[in-house]
Amino acid sequence: MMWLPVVGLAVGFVVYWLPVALPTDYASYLSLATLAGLDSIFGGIRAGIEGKFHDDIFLSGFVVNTVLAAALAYLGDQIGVDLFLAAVVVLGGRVFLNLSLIRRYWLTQASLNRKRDS
Amino acid sequence: MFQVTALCIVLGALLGLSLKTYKRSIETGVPSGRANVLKIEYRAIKESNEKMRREIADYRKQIDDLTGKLMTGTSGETLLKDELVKAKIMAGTTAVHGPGVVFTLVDSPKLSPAETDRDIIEQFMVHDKDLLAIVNELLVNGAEAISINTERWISTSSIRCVGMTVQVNNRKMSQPFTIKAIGDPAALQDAVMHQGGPADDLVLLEMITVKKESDIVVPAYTGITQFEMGKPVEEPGNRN
Repeated sequence: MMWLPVVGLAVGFVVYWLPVALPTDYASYLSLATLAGLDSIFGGIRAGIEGKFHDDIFLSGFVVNTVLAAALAYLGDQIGVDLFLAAVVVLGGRVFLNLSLIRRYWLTQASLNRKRDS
Repeated sequence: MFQVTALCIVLGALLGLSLKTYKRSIETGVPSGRANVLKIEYRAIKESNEKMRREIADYRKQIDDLTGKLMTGTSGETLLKDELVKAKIMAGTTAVHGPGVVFTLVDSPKLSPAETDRDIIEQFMVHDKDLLAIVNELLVNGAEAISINTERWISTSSIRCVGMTVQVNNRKMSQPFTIKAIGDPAALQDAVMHQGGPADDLVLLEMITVKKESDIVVPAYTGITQFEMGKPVEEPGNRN
């Protein structure tokens, strides 16, 4: 079952080759939304590892974070404050944090397995 | 697991879209952050341009008033006035109205938005040479006054390609282009639209529309009219 999300990712990426074109003005908002989505996915994986995974929190988190990140960046552009950067720093930081926690978990699992084998 | 998969589809789509959009924004030459700065600069320049244009119009009106005052009371008053009006139409410094045709040129609606090959995309765009060919054909067929968008065609006018825009009389403009020409409407329309004429490709790609009008206004030339190098040659007949 681990491969299902990866297949989903590939299916979604098909959009790249479809004849849809968005105005280039939206490039920065889109990339921010993507970052927020990434953050949610890694957050979900981490929650799953810690056994705290709730699909409703995950689902709402994904949708709200994605929209909010883009909306915030747009608001920032309108009032002349670079909220884009704030969102990038926070979301990027969280992605790294979650990744390091996930890595730590895998490493612990691996060393536990090794101990058990020996 | 099902939700995670569904969200991964969305994430994949977002990723694809943002990659594509960003790639396009690089290809069009304006990075996303820079666009806003350029917008502000553009607005400022446009404003100062408009201001200067108004000043030119003001000065021109002053000149008109002064020459008007100068001429009243002299014996050849009406004759001079007629000559002045003719000269002004010829020079393009006054707006002209009368029967004529209006051409509208747009980038071809037949271009598929998925097309990425620049060479093919360019085939579907309005170019400086299209405008030049049409204006030339109109002049040959007796057009008395021509304008492209806001720019009046005068004796020193130019049309050329500047990046993604076309520059007419040193003013940059992009599609849609509206070419107005005063003259015999039927003759002018035929001159441009006849088979084998300058608009052949444009007709094929649905890039040009034409309308005959009984009364159109062609605007006056608003650019500079300073001649620094050339001086009129003294002709024997002109000496008093």
